[in-house]
Amino acid sequence: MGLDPIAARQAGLFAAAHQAFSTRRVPGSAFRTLLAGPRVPVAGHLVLAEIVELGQHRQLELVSGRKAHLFPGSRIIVAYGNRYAPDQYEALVPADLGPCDLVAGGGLAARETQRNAAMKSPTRIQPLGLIGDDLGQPLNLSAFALPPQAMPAATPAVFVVCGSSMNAGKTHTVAMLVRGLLASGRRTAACKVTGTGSGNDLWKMRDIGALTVLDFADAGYPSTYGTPVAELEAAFTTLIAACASAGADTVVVEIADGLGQVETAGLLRSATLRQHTTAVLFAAADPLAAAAGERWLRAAGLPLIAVSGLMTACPESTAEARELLGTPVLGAEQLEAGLAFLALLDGPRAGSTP
Amino acid sequence: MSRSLVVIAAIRKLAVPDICRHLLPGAVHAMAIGVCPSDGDIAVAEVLEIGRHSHIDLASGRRAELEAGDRLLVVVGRLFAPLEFSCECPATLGDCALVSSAGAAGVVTGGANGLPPTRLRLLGLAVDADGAVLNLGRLTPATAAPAEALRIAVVSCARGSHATKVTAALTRGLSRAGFRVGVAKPTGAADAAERWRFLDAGASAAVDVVDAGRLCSAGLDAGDLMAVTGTLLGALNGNQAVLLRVAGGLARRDIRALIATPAFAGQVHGVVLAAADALSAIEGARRIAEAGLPLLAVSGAICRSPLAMAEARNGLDCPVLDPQALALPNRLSALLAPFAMARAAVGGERLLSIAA
Repeated sequence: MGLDPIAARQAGLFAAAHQAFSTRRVPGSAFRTLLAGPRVPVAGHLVLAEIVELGQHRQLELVSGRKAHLFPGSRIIVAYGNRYAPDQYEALVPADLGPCDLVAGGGLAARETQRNAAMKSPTRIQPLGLIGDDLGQPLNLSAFALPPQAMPAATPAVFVVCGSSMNAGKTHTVAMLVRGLLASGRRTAACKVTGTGSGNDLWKMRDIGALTVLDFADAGYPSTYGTPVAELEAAFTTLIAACASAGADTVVVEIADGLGQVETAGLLRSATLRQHTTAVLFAAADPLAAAAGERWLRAAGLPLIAVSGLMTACPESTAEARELLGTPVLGAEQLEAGLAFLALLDGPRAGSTP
Repeated sequence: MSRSLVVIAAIRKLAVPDICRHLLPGAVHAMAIGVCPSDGDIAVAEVLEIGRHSHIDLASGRRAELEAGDRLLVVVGRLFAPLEFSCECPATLGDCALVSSAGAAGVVTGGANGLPPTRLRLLGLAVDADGAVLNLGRLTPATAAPAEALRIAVVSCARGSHATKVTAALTRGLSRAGFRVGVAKPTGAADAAERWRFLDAGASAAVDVVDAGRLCSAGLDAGDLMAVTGTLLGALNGNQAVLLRVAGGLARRDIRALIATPAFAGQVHGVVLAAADALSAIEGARRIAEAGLPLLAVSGAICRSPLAMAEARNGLDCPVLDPQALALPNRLSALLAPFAMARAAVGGERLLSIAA
């Protein structure tokens, strides 16, 4: 079986490796055995791997948030997980422990299936084995997740931010929304229900002063590509409940990727999300995408109150969007001011008007 | 100040920019001073200080370096270019700015972050042998009614959709298939590099607003844009296939109006959309269908991302094709085969025979 717990510990194998941000909920003390040999990894399994050849990702974000430089031979502890990133890679968890790729800087192991033309080859890694417990059972992030929770009786106000595509300006919109809400005295938390594990966005929300910042990793997922929508609905509920437990009266929830992504579309169309969502903001890459998003969200019965995103970096695009849309378009200055949202909150819900 | 004519020393040394490409050799006899410029006038300018544009695209196609003290011809007037400088026609001779490397000049009203524009001094307006001021509107040949041809519009969903790349690829594909291809850009402003790219891709001719006697399409309503389109199509008579590159993005009011004009639908056999992302491709397709135009394919920047292409395919009835595929005659003929237009148009039989 390749199970040699004592040797693994004595060699300090795990302590010497860089533990990735994606695995932050798993304490180092849980790493007991190295499970090599023929095994079938699944999403959430932790793996000790060695860098074979550097490609796109030359750094790995650690649990501390520091970005460690990687070199051929560097050892890393990352999680197996699927990646859906139109601007980068699609990658799937392989069916064996053979060579695969580091497909996200937050620490995700998978095998690349397709790639954006702008990307280099991914960094190649050689798994040395799954990481197991004392009994030789592989660890999975799901075992270290927050316990599933139901929505509390006093449901916080929930702002959902979604977008037209990857890199459409969602995170900036979330950041500015959180700033505005905090400035207005709301006890605001931020969370990200879908996507791929990365510390960047989480640190940003923390720096802004969000009361608490959580993502799907806290619900036990290394990434959410391929996760059944019912599980994502449960994760949505758990994360919001956890924010409420931490004292938040307002939660800003980011949903990754564009409306064409399966899990994104599924979660946004779910009754769970609709039931608990106070207002939706849409980040668009360009005015036509904004128009498509507005139509889609209204058809889904969601209370869209404003549109913003990357397109508002260009004054002409902002003006075009204002002509095309029935929803208020928040420009860069309004976002920066962080206060534009407050007027929208006090007014009637734009999404409920025809 | 009263109007007077000044003979320009070393008139042959004046750089002739792309935008003055219809100026016949020897057409400039002198320059008028003590006059006020009007939109489209050709002026003699001296470079005062180099800024954003450190070069000028010459009518010959060569890109020439500019230096303070250099003298060149420019066209003054109103120009709107969201990602470059926008300008108005100067009220008097004197200081103004070079706003495009094609040779447009004016008083900058907005745009372009970063470097300030290259500063010019307008020395006078160029006049012909009769002493009449030369204007862009007077240089263009007489218009002819558009002759029959296979006409495909390449419409961009937004800036950054790689519509130029798509147009160049279609030009290559059609010319490889044996068509004599012309390219017309009825919206936006002159862009020499883009025109040469189409010519390099195999176009027999590439025309833009300058060929309709204008500096830029800003401010034109759908009727005017359609008139410009008609002029450009007429200028491309003799080509078997014409690509209409509709620049500026489908979100722009004038572009939406042009697309919605029945006259436009009457001139165009099909549309290829250039998009950067799935959602705007789907919205663009909806708007093209609303205009009653057949959508042949979606292409453009979106094709850098296989996942974005897959998302677009889920929401579209037409193929999503990499620009490279459009340059291949067999892929192109497969695309055009279902449309009667390929048969009806001049040269269509040849295209279909390649498909067979």
